[in-house]
Amino acid sequence: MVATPGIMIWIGLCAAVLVVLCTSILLGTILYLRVSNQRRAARRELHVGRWRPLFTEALLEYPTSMPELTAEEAVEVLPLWVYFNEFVAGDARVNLAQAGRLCGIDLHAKEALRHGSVRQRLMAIQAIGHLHDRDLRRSLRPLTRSTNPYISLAAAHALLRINPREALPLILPLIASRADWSPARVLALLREAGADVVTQPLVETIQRAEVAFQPLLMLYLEAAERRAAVQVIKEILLATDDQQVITTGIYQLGHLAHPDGLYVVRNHLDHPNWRVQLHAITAVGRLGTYKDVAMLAGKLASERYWVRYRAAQAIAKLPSVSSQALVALQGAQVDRFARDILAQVIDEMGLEAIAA
Amino acid sequence: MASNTSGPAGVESGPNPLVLLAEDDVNMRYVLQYLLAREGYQVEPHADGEQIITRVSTGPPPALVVVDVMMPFVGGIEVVKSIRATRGWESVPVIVLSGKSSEEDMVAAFRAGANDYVTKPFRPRELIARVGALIASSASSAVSPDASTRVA
Repeated sequence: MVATPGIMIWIGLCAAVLVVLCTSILLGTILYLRVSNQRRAARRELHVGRWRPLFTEALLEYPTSMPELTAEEAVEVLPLWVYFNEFVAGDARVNLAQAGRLCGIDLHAKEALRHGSVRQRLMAIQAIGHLHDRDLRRSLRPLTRSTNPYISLAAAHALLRINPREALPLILPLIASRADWSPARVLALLREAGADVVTQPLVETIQRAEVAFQPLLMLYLEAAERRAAVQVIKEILLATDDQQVITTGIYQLGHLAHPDGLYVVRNHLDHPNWRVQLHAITAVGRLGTYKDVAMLAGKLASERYWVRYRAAQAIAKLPSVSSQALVALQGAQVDRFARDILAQVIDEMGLEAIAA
Repeated sequence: MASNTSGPAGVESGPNPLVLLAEDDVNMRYVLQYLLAREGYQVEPHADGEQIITRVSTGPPPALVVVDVMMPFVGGIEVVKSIRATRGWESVPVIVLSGKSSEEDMVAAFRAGANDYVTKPFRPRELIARVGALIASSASSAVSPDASTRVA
């Protein structure tokens, strides 16, 4: 079938109109987005420009009066107030909390918690934590069980800020079971709560925890008092044969670097699992003395490269082992692998020295 | 060249001493500028390490430098090294501000030539006191006979 010229012209015209229409809609949308973005930025500038000086002044002087924060301002000002709280400490934080209460941050946070987007709810949770608002803490408790890890962790953090002693019994069991919580963030908030508050409940939680949860919980002992942390790891190591628990325990003893852990890590140098040996060697390198050179030298001829390498590094790190002593030790080795690995570490040390 | 300097209003900047400030975060820079200006210091704010390094190589030394560790282009530690390597700036006191509190980070800053290390979150009054003490100590060592001989 052949189309007549009239139909062809109509089809062409319709296509041209369609293209012009689509282009206009696209340009209109781009224009609208640009204008609304600019308006939003201008509004933000206006609100931040009004409130930043007020919060800055409050850092040094306990405020007695503040203007009322409007709902429109709160969207931009709540994050600003939270941010101010993140980079100051001491009296400045007390003053900021008072400034927040006076201008009504608590009311806006409560509102955002009920009806806000996820971002606004996160800000509200953080604000409630910084306000140390005991009345609002009830609204945070159910949020610690939220399936959204950001919301639940933020709620846990806020509760710890408000009252760490009261919050820890609620939060520690969650820490063990929430695999979606960032371990670095959890450690940071436990550190912020303070070793004096965290140590006892954390130690008890580890002692009661199922074996599967003990390795993760042991990593958080960095936030506890070191002597108590080493003591509980020693107890667990004596009672378990779980390889993951042993590996983590030995790693953590080296990391905590408390002399009470030395005897235990020495005893694991000949552990049948080479990964445990690896952590024990590294730990002895951190905690050990010149007397450990002989034991570590025995590992230089291991069939596993990483065991040889960590042993050479550990010897080099021991106090009173000079570079001359290291060279002498290398010369005394009969095993070729032992000589090579020491030569490698000596070279690396030389390169580090040149770089420094 | 000093950047963006929509600094705090309503605080008189004193004629002296001059404090150079390098901080990339606009809110933090505003707060530091306010705190220092409130104490009567003349404050010259910069938004990144590159700007302050240019300033070090072209302008006269200030009474003190406050520098953030984490900045775009050039970090605070590099800025401190650059200050220490510049003639006439060797004895300018430098306070390093950092969110990192590990021993390693502090040692790196002091090795580079920092005189003080303040971790964030910081206490504003304490920072002001540290600035004052360093400027006073630097001024008194500059007038002592030993120091003047060294400068000469």
